[in-house]
Amino acid sequence: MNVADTHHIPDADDPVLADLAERITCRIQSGDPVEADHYIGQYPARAGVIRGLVAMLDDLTALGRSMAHRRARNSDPVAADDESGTPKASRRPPPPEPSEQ
Amino acid sequence: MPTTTRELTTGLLERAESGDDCAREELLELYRDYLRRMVAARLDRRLAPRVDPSDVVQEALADAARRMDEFLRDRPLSFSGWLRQIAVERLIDTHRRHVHSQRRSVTRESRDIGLPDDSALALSQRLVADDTSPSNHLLRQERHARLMTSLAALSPRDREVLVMRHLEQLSTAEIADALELSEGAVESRLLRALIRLRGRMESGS
Repeated sequence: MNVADTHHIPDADDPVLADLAERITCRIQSGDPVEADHYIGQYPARAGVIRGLVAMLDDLTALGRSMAHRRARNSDPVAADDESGTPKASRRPPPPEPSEQ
Repeated sequence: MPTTTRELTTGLLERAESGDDCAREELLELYRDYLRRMVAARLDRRLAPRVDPSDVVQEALADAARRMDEFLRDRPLSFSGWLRQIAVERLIDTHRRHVHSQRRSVTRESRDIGLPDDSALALSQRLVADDTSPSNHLLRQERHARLMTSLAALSPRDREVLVMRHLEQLSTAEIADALELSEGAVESRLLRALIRLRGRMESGS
């Protein structure tokens, strides 16, 4: 394992930052605008980390959206806009009826 | 009236345990799309022309149906965690059949099934190929390539939560259920992984 993965990162154990990262993620994923300065205004001591997190979460969300769109397009070109992500029943089409003789 | 997936799952498991076969079927169908997202996020790019994630999921669900009695008796994991484990087994088998020429240990392969193990650049090219803005195309392609390379270089523990949250687009509640953690622990793990990912991107590794 790379040393970078094991050395202590002070900000990584910050529950306020963890909660903030999740709130920002939800906001970006729902398509709402996110400005790092807005959160820096609330948490000025965490400015450096917040700016980096917003940029990273933006990129990750864009990557996830690309993959979701491609999955939807490959499975059902007609419903390609459906990118809902919660587990739910997705019924397979019923087998064709046997032809009458 | 159950409203969350977790509540639905709990109810269906109770019914399945009492012998309700319809409940078993409903339970597996409930997770079909969830598993498809997981498999699609991890399927090797080289298999894409030949392997439909839905087929891997169908095999995994068939395995789960056969092993359901064992799960209901032993409850080794959460239901979603158990299904994911079965889907990973099927993915490893699929990769082994189609990509790898040598036998590999399942343990090593299960650690490797975090992201497709080929060129991150090729993957990002595939993902952004249909972007509509030519002027941003190269920038986005480059950014995604660096992101995928950095993701692949993370430890499996860090990579797993990021892939689940951002590529599979699972909620923290769903991740918590699958990994049997609290949501707070998931958020902490995500933050640590994000900070390490950022560090790798900035250092170019």
